[in-house]
Amino acid sequence: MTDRYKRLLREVRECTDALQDGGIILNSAHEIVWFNSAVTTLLGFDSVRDRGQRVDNLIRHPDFVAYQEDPQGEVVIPSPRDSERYLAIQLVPYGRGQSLAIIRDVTRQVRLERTRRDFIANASHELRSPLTVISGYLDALAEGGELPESWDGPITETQRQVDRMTTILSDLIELTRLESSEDEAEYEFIDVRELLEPIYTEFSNRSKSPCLELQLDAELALLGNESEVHSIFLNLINNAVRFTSEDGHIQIQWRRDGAAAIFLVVDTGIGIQEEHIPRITERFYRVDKGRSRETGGTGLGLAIVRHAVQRHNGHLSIESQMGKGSTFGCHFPETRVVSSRSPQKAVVN
Amino acid sequence: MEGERAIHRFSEDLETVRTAVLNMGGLVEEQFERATRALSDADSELGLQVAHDDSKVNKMEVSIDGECSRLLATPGATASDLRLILAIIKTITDLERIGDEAKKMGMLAAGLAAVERPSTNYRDLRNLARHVKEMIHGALDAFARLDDKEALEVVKSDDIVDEEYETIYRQAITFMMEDPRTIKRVMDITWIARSLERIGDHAKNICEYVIFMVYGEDIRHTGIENIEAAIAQANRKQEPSSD
Repeated sequence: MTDRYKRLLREVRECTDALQDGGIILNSAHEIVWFNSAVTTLLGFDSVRDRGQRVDNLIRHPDFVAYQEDPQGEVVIPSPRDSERYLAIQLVPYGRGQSLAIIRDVTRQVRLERTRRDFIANASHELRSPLTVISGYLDALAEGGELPESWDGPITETQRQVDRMTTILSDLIELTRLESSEDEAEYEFIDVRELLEPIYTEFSNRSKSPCLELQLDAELALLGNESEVHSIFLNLINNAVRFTSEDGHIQIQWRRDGAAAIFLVVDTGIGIQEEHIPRITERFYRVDKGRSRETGGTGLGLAIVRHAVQRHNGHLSIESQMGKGSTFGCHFPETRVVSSRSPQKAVVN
Repeated sequence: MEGERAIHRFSEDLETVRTAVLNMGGLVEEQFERATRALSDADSELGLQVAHDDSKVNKMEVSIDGECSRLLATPGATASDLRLILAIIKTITDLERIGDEAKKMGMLAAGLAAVERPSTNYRDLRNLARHVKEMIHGALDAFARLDDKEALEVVKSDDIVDEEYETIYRQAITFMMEDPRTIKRVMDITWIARSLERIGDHAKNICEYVIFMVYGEDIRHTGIENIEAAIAQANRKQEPSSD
C-alpha cells in the first residue's frame, strides 16, 4: 500500500515539476507551504529555505501586496528576479483559508500590448495635424464661393467625414489615456445634477429624439474625475438615443443603491443580441456592420465608458433583449459616493 | 497558559511587523524603479509622480516605528527578538532615506526630460542604477531570509557602485570644463549619481543589520576582512551548541 502511495506521490511531483506555470500552496497566514520547480525559475524562490516564509516577504511589489488583501482576477507584476519579465499571478482560495497561487510568464503579452498602445497613441497624434490642415482648407473652400455650385455637395460631405475622423481620433487618444493610466481616478467633488441636466436638455431639444425622462437624486454626489464622468454620461445617453426610434422612451436614473450609487440608462430601443453583449465594450466592435456607421458612432464610446468606470473603482453592467430595449448601468462603490448636502443639514433632517 | 499565549501573540506581531518592513521595501524598490524609468524614458510626469508618492513611504515608516515602540515595551522578549526589533527600527530609517533619494532622482529626471539628451541616453547612470537596484533587492531578500551570505555579497558589491560613481563624477568635471554651457545639465547628472551612490550605502547598511540580527555582532565600519573573520568566529562559537 505505502509503495503505491509513494509511487503516486512521486508521479504527482514529477508532473507538477514538468509544468511551465508556477504553483505555490499557501496556508491561511500566507506562508509558503510548497511550490513546484517552475517557481524557482520564475520568482527565484529557494526550495529549501523559503518554506514557511510569508509570500509577500519575497514578492514585495506594492501591486501584489494590494492584490493579496483583496484577490480579484489576477495581478501582473515584473518578476522579482528580472524586471524585464512580467508575471501574472492569480490566487485561488480553497479549504480552510489556504490558497493556491498560479504564476504565468506573460512577458510577450505585456510587450505586445505596450507596442499596440504606443502605436495607436503615436498614429493618432500624427494623423491629427494633417487633418487640421485639411479641415482648414475645406472651410475656406466652402465659404469662398470660388468653386462651381456642383461642388457644394462633395465639399459638405468631405467636411462631415473630416469631422468624423477628428472625433474618432480624439476618442482614440482619450481611450489610450484611460487605458495607460495606472492609478485610480481622483476624488474631486462632482455635482451630478449640474453635469447631467445640460446633457439631458441638449438631447431632449433635438428634433428627432425619442422621449427622454430624467430621475435624479439631487443630493447624491460623486467623487471622481469630472471630465471622465461627463464622458460616461454623454456616451451612454448618446448611444441610447441613437438606437431608439422616435416613438421610443429613454429613462435616465441617478440614485442610491444601498450604500453605493448607480447610474442607469434604460431604453426601449432595438436591443443587443445576447452573444454580442460580452464583446460590445471592445474597441471598434460592431454588432452588425451597417448600423453603427449609419448612426454616426465612432465604435469607441463603450470602451471609453468601461475604462472610465473602472478608473472610478466601479463596473459597467449591460442587460438587453432584442426588440425590447437595453439597460446600461454604471455602479459606483460606496467610497465614491457622498451626500451633497452639508453634514449639519443632514443632522437637522 | 496565559503566558504561552502572550508569547505566541508577540511572535505573531513581530512577524507581521517584519512583513510590513518588507512591504515598505517593495514600495521603495518600485519608487526607485520608476525614478530610473523617468530618467531613461525622459518621462517628466512619471518623475513628478515619484516625488509625490514619497509620502506613502514616509507614512509606512511612521506606522512601523510606532508598532516597534509598542513591541519593545512587551515584557519577556528574548535577546534575538530585541535584536530583530532594533534591526527593524534601523532598516526602516534607511528605507525611508532611499525613498527620499528616489524622490530627488524623480525631480531631477523630470527636469532633465526637458533638455537635450546625450546620444548614450545616460548609459553610465543607467548602469549604475542597475547595480544599485540589485543591491536594494539583494538587501531585502537577505532581510527576508536572514541570509548572511547574500547580505555579505551586497556589502561587497558596494565597492563597485562607489567606483562607478567616481568615474561618472570625474567624467562630469571634464564635460563641464570642455563646454560650460552644459554645466546645469551635468550638475543634475552628478546629483543623480550621488543619490544612487547614497542608495547603495543605505542598502549596505540594511545588510549590516541583517548580519547583526543573525550573529549579534556589530560589523559596521570594520572592513570586509574583519566582517568575514567575525562571521567565521561566530560560526565556530555556534556550531558545538547547535547540534
